[in-house]
Amino acid sequence: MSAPFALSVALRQMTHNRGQTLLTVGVVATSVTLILFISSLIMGLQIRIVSTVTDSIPHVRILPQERAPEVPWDNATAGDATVRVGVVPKLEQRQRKIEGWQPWLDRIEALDIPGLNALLPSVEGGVVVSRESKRISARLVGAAPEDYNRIVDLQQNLVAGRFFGLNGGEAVIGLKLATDLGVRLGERVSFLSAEGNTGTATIAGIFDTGFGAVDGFTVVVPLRDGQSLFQLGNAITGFGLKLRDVFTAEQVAGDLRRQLPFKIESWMADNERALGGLRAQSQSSRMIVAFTVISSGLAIAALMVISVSSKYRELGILKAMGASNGQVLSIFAWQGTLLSLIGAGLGTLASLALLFWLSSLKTVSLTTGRATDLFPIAITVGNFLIGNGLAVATGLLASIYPASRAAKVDPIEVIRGQ
Amino acid sequence: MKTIPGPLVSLAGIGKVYGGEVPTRALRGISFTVNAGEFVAIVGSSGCGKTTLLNLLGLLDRATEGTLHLAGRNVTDLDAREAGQVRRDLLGFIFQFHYLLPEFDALENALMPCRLAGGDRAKEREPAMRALFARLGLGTKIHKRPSQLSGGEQQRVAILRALANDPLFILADEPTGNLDSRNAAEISSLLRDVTRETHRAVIMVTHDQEMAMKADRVITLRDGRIESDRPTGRLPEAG
Repeated sequence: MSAPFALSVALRQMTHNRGQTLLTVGVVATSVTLILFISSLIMGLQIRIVSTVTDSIPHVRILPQERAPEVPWDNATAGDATVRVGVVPKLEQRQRKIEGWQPWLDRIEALDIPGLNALLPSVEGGVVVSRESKRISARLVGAAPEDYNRIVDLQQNLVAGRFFGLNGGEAVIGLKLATDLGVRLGERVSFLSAEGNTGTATIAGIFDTGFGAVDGFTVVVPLRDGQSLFQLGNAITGFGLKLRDVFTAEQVAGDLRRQLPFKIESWMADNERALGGLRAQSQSSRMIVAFTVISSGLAIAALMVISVSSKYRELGILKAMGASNGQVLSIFAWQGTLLSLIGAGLGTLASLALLFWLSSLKTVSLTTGRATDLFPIAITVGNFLIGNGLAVATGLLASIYPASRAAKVDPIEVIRGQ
Repeated sequence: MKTIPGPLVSLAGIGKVYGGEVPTRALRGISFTVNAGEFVAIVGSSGCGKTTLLNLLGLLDRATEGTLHLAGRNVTDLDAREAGQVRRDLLGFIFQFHYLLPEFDALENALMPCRLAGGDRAKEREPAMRALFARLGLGTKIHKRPSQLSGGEQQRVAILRALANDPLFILADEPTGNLDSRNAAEISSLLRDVTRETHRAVIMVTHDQEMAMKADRVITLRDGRIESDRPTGRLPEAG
């Protein structure tokens, strides 16, 4: 029953003390803007870093098992104290491969991997690409173009020629590699594999993904041509998986390790340092948000304590007239909540305006002419819900101390004029 | 108007000792009754226990001895919540300073006890309060904020606030202490009229002998005891 009375008093005090109301709302709005700006910027930055790492590679790779060489002391009997001197014999230098891969493809598909976007059988290996006198080391991928495109989107990033429908004897290469080689569309390049095999292809397309590692060092040919260059017969060198949520890669890799007799690698294990950096960034973001919330809460509490002090006599008289502790407490709890709600609303509008403006700013690469966002902003409903929830909860919590002080006002002291 | 058989206020052997390293006895053996329609003044020198007695009567403090009945109910040992309810439903307070809420206009301030009671109480009492405003010459000041009223007008609004919830009796603590003599005379006449016309009881603490003589009865305290309890010659009219 105390809500209507407390609410009406709270509203009236807020409209009467405009200066203090504006100050408190301003503190909350600034905090919400800061929280949303920081979290959107850091999340955007993380998305950009993660996508830089993961967009141009499979998230999980299924590769042939490495064969461990057998060494003499593996077979030593117990109690054999002989000191053995020697070297670990090297395995025969030959390409590791997966023979008869089609049934494995079917089996992997049947595993129903959660969030699987693409499954790509491919051959991959190091080659030297040459054009006239220029020779550059590169990575050659042999795969069906339509399937490979689900791992790295080359079709959308073509700057010349075509990718889908790539014929035998044709290749697409990155813009930087093409520039470095001085090769144009329709011209031929030669390949020399690590095993000493050679081949040629006509450039059918040139792509520019914006990823230096892809554009400067990647050549894609049809699967058959790759198998032929690396003399794999019908075998492949592995499967690549693309997942909807890149952060499930390690879990998916763990599941696959238990179910398949292959070596399974995830991008997360390969990029542990980058992930560590992202985690540190997330922690920093959370700390900034925490400090902002605390300072905002303290500011609200301080302003409301001043309000309670200035209303000390009136509150005492209200209590003398029969106002319960709950009614007096509710006045300030309502004020804290309303001020936070208004501040959070204004802060949300301000941060949206700021974030949309910042995300409209572009920077253009001097080398490629490609326009990218100057600030990597990620505007998510989750961030906004968390930011606003924190602000309102902070306002309510911050009002508890001044409200409890108000509820404890002793009418006798007021009447005595103390 | 609520009617209660018997005295509205009854004190029997009320005493008050404040704790601490050296306990201080503020009141001892206070016994008297106040009937409906009586205007009682409590006087005495500073430190004689006037304010302590008012606090006990207003259930703002608890007696350490004796019993207190208000409207026939033993209210000696009520907890804070029950005491608050009794104050809201049975008592009206007038203080030396008006303590009106600056954010509310005169009528809203006067109806504050009704708003505290919740429900439609404020709406029900509004016509009666408007009539009282008009009667006290405040008809045109209903929607003025306290800062737009004179000292006398502010105190009259405070008196109206004390009457808002139709209480059985009114406790007044030096109600004219901050007023000039003209306004003080007006307020004391008003309290006397309220007592007689509405058949309420008014208990007023004052150090002003002239003001006390406007009451029907004067109780004089000295060192925490009742020194005298005698009528002023202004007998209340029969209710």
